[in-house]
Amino acid sequence: METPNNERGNERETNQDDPGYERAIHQEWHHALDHTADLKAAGDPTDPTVVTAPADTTAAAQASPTDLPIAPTEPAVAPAAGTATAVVAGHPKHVADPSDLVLAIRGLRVSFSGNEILHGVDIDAPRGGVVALVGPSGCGKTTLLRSVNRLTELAPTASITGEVQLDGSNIYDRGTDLNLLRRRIGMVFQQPNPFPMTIFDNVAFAMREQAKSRPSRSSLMPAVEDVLQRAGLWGEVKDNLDRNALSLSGGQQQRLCIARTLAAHPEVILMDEPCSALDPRSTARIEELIVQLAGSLTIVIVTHNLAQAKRIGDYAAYLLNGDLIEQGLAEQVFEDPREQSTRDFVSGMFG
Amino acid sequence: MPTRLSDRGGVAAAYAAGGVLVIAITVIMAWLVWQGLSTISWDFLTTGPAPGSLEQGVAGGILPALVGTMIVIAFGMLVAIPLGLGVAIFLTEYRQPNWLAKGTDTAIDLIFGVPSVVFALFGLAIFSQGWLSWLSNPVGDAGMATAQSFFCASLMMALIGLPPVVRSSQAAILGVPNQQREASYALGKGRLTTIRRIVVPGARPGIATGIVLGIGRIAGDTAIVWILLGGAVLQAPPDGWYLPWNLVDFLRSEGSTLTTYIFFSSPAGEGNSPGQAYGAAFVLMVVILFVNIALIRLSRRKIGKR
Amino acid sequence: MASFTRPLQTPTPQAAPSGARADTVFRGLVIATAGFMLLVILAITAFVLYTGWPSFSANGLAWFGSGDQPLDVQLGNSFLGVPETGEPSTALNAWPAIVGTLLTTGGALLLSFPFALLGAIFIAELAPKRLAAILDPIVTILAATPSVIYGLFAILVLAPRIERNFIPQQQAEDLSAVVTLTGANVLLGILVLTLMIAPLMIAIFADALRAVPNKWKEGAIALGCDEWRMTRRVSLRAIRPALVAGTTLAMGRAVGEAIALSMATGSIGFIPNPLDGYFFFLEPVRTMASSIVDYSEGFESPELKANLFAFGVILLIMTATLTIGAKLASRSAERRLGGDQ
Repeated sequence: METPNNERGNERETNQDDPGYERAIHQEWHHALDHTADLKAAGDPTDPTVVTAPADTTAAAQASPTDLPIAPTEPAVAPAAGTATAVVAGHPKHVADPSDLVLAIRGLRVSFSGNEILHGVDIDAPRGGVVALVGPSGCGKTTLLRSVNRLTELAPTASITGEVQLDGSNIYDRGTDLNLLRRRIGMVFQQPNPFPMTIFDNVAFAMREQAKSRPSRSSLMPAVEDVLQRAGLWGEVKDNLDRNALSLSGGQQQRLCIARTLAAHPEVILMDEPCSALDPRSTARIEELIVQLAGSLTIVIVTHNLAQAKRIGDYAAYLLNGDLIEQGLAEQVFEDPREQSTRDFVSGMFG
Repeated sequence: MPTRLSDRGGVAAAYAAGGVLVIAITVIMAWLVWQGLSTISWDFLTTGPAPGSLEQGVAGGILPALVGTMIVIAFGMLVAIPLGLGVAIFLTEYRQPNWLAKGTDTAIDLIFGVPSVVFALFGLAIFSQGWLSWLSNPVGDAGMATAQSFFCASLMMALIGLPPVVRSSQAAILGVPNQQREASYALGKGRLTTIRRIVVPGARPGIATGIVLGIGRIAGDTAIVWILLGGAVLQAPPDGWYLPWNLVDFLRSEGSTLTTYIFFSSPAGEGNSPGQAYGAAFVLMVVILFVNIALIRLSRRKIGKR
Repeated sequence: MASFTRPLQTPTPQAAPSGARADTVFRGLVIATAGFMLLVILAITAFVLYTGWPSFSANGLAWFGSGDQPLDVQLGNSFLGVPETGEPSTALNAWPAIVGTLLTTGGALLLSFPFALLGAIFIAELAPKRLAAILDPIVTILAATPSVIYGLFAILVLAPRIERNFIPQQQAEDLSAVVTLTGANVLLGILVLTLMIAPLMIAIFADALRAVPNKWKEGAIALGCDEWRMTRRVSLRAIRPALVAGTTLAMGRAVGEAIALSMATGSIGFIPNPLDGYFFFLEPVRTMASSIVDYSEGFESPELKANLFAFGVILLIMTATLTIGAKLASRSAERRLGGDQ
């Protein structure tokens, strides 16, 4: 009696959370049917050549598998000069200097009510790169991500130890300005979550937060246009910026959320399975967008979708049951993993 | 700490509001408990008002008022529960004809919003009709009725208790999964059986919540009692009123409840005996407290079931 | 796809022949209860309007005017009879009672809305979890506390203090020719209504704040808002329907409150004079609802009955307007939230 009860309960909850959700999905499908031509003209974003790193990366990584650009044991801020030169030839195109870590997670342990979810994880994110966190459900990817902008501690039962260094300073140090931190490290959530206000107000949200006095609409407009352009949404919404953001389709909502995050000028954007609630066409657009954004900022993305991680990731980290199993260049992790467990996972044996 | 001055002001104001709230709660509770406990005794609860109360201020106990409160709750809910359940089932399981569903929905909202003093007027208007004099007592030979009796008050109380029963039951019935209904229909059960065996049992905690909310509203109402049960605050019920053959006569007579007793014995009423009012207020607050404890337990049970 | 198109309401099943009749009877019963509710609302409107009509028809538009006789004298005349003729009269200029209702309700709303909103933010977002867990049920109990208990608190605890601290002997004597100033007055009426409706509003607002989808709250926090900014910029926008619903519900309660106001306002049909400065708030009033209770012993006089029922008509119209207005307003606010523009 209880089991079907639960199922239905969940279904209902999702719908309640997101009133326009079902309709949005339908719209998105119609959209997709109407605009297949546009999509082709724009180039097929699912084509791996568009998004993955140059081919020589693989060669370099294979040539010296031990000289990985990110070595968890190395100090985060001052890497040895020698290793840096060794990987320059093979580093992904968005990354100027693989040894320049914008984020370095060291020995991160997180538990909820004494139940440990992460058992001391080290992750490196070189500046400008796309780091894909992969692993089976429940491995702690999302918790890891949410610990990077200190959202984890919103749950009163959470306890966190270890370090997360942003540009060399630990964000868990006392005296960290949380609001400033969260502007420097933006986040895009699994469910698109535009605020119940107009498109313009959504995008201008962070700008108004950061402004000293109340900025006028016209003074915000150039910046709003700029981030909507960067998020690839300007063309679709420029004529109705005063429409309610919730009336957009799911894919448009997620791009709006990316624009809203960009408006805060973050150095890093965390993305928690940003495409899992979207249809294939919207997913492709978001992936395209991520690749475009990389370079100017760093993206750490949790994804359930291995193909997606391969397409967009410069680096990949594989987590299992709260432990980091392996991290490195995405090609290396996916094509030639060092660990048997990673190999099983990427070959689709479980997860 | 927020950086902007307006934010600091806002946060400070919110904390101040919280502080005022805490202080107000403490003062009111402490006052009631302190004053109430100094009046209350076993005799206070188990005896009627002392003879000659009005001359030297109200004296004696509150038994009739306590009994009166219980009676209007019992009879009010006796009418409100079946009616409310029927309306809730109609609004969730049937909803046909559509105009009736929409109309009933609005009607319940309106009944929820109408002040109880207007219900009291309405009761006075209908129950004073001669042909309804069996609910109270006839007035002379003018073909009118007093419209003041436990029956009259309870029937209007039913309208006060009804909206919470309807709304809580409605929400709970909507929460019963469709699969369970379909399973029942698939077994060849009819609609009535399905509603009786599946829907109502599944919605029981929500229905109970509605009932308790209704009880709380009835227990706290003064205007209906004052106008439809009369000002017989200092009158002890006749001996043996609870015997079945006396009961109907008793229910056709005037009476009092805790709320009217408090009103009467406050400085605003004729009784002007603050001590008695404090005692009765304390007892009434205990009743309300029990109602709320029941509500909290019910809501826990609902969460536990999920 | 199937789950999207499945109707929410189960289609009428093929009833088993044996239960078919019972089903039909039950359906009839259920429809009858629903129909009865419509009947009740119609009957309330009809009976109250019918009984109160003589008051309106006798006075015309002057019913809403201020007239030159005090309210209490007019109501007394419709019970005891006009001194000259000894005949009870329906003549009524109800302006003082209308002013009393508007003053107390308006004042209470002005006082309790900001207080309730801030209090709700405190409980739902700012207070330590433990304090919030204690405050929460207590606020619910306060919201459910019978108004007569607040009235008792007002008249026994607050009134003497107001009288002692705010009413100087000299001014009270100066005004004594016009009106007797006691601790029971407009201010106390506003305070007692605030005590009644603020907990109700806090409970509704705090519930709504907590029900704001977590994704919006986290979204705001992830953009660098603290709890206060998050509440101000996102949650308050999201709970607009609840703000409308809670405020109108509270307003309905305040307009219709009879007993507590009968105890607290001094129950004298006086129109406070704004020229008296802050004494304006220390002058008594009598509201429409409390007039009904105060004069309930005189219902056997048809003239007084008509006048009191006329107050009932106005209360009925006001609360019905509030109920329906609230429904429409919160529905349109919800629609705006839902993005159906």
